[in-house]
Amino acid sequence: MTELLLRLPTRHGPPTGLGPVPRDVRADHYGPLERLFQTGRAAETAGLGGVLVPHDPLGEESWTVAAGLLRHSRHLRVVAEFHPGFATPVYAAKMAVTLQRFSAQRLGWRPALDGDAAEHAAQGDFLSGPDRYRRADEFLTAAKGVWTRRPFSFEGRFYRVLEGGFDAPLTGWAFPRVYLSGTGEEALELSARHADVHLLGPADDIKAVRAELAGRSARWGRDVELGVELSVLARDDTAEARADAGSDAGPHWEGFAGLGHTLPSGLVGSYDDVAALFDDYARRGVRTFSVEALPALPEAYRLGERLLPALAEQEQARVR
Amino acid sequence: MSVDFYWRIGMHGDQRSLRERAESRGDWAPHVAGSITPALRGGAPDGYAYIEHMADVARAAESAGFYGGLMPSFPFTDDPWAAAAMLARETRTFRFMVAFQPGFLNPVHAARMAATLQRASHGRVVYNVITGGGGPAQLWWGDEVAHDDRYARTQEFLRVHRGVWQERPFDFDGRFYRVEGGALPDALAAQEFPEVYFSGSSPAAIDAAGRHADYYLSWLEPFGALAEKFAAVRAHSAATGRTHRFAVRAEVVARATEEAAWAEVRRGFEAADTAALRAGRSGDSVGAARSRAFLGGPVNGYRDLEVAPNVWGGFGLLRGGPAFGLVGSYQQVAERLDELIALGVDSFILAGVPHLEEAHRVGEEVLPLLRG
Amino acid sequence: MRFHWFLPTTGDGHAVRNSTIRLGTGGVTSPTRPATLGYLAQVARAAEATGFTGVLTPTGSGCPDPWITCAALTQHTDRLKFLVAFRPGFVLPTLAAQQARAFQEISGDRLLLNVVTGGDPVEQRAYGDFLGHDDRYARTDEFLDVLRRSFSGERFDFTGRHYRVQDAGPTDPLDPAPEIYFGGASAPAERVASARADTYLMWGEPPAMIAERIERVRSLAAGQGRSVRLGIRLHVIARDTSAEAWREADRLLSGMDPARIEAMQHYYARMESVGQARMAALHGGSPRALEVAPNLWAGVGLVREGAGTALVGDYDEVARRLQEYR
Repeated sequence: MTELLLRLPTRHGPPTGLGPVPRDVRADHYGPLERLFQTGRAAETAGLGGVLVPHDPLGEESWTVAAGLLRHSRHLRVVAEFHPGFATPVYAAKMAVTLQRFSAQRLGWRPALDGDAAEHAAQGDFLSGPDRYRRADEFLTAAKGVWTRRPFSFEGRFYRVLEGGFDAPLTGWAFPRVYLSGTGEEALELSARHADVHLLGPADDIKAVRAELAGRSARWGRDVELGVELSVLARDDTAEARADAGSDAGPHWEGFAGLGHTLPSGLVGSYDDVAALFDDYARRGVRTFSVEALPALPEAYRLGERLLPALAEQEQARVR
Repeated sequence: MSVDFYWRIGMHGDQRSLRERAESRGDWAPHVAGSITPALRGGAPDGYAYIEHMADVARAAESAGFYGGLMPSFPFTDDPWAAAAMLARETRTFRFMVAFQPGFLNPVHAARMAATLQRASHGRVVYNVITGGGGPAQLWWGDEVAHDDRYARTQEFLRVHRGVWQERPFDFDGRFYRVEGGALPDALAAQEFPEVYFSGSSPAAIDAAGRHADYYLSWLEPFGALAEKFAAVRAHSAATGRTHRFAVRAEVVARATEEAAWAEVRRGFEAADTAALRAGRSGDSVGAARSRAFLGGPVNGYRDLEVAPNVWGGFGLLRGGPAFGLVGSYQQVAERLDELIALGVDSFILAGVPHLEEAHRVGEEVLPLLRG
Repeated sequence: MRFHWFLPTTGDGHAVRNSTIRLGTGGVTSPTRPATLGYLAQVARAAEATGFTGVLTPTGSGCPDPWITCAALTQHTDRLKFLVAFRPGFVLPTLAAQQARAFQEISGDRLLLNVVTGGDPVEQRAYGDFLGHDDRYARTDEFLDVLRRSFSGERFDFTGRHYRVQDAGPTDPLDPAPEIYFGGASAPAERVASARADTYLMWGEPPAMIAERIERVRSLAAGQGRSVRLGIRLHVIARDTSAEAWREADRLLSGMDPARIEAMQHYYARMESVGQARMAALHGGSPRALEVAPNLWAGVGLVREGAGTALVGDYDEVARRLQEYR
């Protein structure tokens, strides 16, 4: 079964000034996050599997947005991307178990390990290189430890826990589904040990990563699914999609940054074109598509009403 | 002068009453007879989660006239940051006072979390900064920093926190934190910095409070002892040039008559395990030690724990948590609260069990009697 | 057994909520807790969380309209049912069927109907209804006939004494149709109940009095090849100990205004409701000797029309009394 996640735009747009038309400007209880919650509900109504709430130092904070999204939806999976340095693993696990308990276990985790040194320094984080992966490994080990064992003790380079672990009723809940990414050796080893889904870029060598990851994860007795993270611009026909992209580029396009996307690479084409390309990934073992499509709210409906049926057709054809 | 009244949102279920110490609301004790909300009904999941009850308590307190609610944090509770973020849109004026230990969060990320929650809630986030009772619980959390160092860390945390929010870009190089060019983005920095409630009875705590707190928060104690504590904080803040407001946390058993209120306490006391009364805890909290010290003399009956008129020190037996609370008629409890206001208290965090029903009761019967 | 709770749509507080009927003396007191939507949602959610099947709403000239109030509350609850009370005389059965359909749709099939024929001629006339007591039940009978046909999904014509419709009925059956609760203690009421109701609802009379009524309605229904479920409407004052519960009853009693008690007796006297007469006879307007059967206290009815009795006792006692009615 294919999982389709929609990436939410959490960066603040320019403030919208009041136009010359008189408007009701009394404060109400709808805040600036309302648009994000509405987009989450649109994704849910349109039948998408979930949403990804990105970690963006210049945007809304992902855990807070994720908590609101979970509360205001019923079926949607909400994957929160976060920097492992944001809290201790015990505290992150504590926050996560509360969200799991109160959302019928719909939370996902996407630890973010990339980012440049200046950005990390501004967040008070001076780790670099392989240490980032070592810390992430300790973070996930300790978080899973307190989640699943009592007592749980841990001695690492970055974290220490003594006689930890949750008590009922905080026990027995599913650990958040873990999404990781990267193509380097450390990234693949981290995924082999901790990921449920390993996300790749659209142009990465899926076959090679799949083989490498299979070998590594087998050593830990685990199984890691593959996903692709990409931008999408799909329309009724190829010409319309190209017109909206403002480019004559082929179906694989690197110019999404020009449309305001965070993910520069992705697919442009008719729903059938894009569905066929998704199917091509699926044939190579990809089960999760983490998609950026803007503006997110109308695109959520577009993906649900147009792309999902086309995908289902492709899938049926493949099975036949 | 306006006084803020907060209530408490129970973060680990609730009891039916103070008469029996068993959580029967939420999924903490599904086997207690009469336990509700175990999320199972007739053997099938009913879609209920404890957050629904928390939302109801918040709404009850909001409609009863409370300004907000404290959401405590312990190893066995749900997490207040996560819960507050879920509840942000479900009340309109009610504030969420999030208890947290700064040591568990990165100060820059925490600023982003808080500012985003301010946006989600229209500025209804309040901090209850706790520095930790120490003992085994600190290591449970994975925190090895010693008592006085924890206060130093709390100070650094709040310094960085405020810096990236209000002095952008912000550089800092301290014992615990280092930041280069830290800054919230404009939309987040435009949010109001949450009010800070700060507790702790030790000199290290009073020093930290003097520098960073808006409210110095104390558990209820006999009024003379509270007055001394406030004087110590005032003297310290005179030295730092910061003015302070004071807040007090108290359990409340208020009934139509004094007899009915004490009958409630007596029944709880008779059912409680009083052997635990004199047992100390292994934590290094000075506040907890102070509470125990007020209980001089042998305890033969529940009234021996009445250390001053209407001030009863046995709540730890009936529920856990703070030892002292007010017991009496509506009028008596209102008079004691008025006396505390006269001592300089600007804000109260009250609580009664069960939280939902008692929020209505205290809001309707006690608060209107206050003279301020 | 199913348990329903009561939705205090006219307000709540710590005293027996007075009648909302405007009387000559002692006007309608304002409640200490106004029935805002937020408060009613709390009561509904509490009833839902603690395991009640549904909530009953009162109807009458002093109450907010139950259809509208309950429709709003469906959006604050997930599985609680709403026993919506209404007077058949004031609305066409075809329109009521349409309202029921919309309610089922937006609530996820959580509607129960409580058909109240009405017993106060003054109030009825104020609504514009000038039928006499027995005629009102005859109209209710026709109303329920047309209502049920409107749920069936079949086109139909109907010509009766009170209603005439032509080519009526929506195209689809309403499935599930709401269950119909029905109250009324007179002979005509018992006849309609046995023929049309799913549940026959009684105010909390002493068990012996209830038993007679049950027997009559059951045999009337059996004569038509039907069976009817039975429901009872009671207040409850249950505490840890019996003494505490009775103290609470005393407290409620001491808060009642004697002038109001007096005025209510005149009000009961004007009523055509047999059920109200039976309730009033239980206390006779006297605050003394209000325990009319073991643990059954008639004090509520001194100042409040409708269901006027409460079970008073410790939890075990109240539970045992409930079992007795069973």
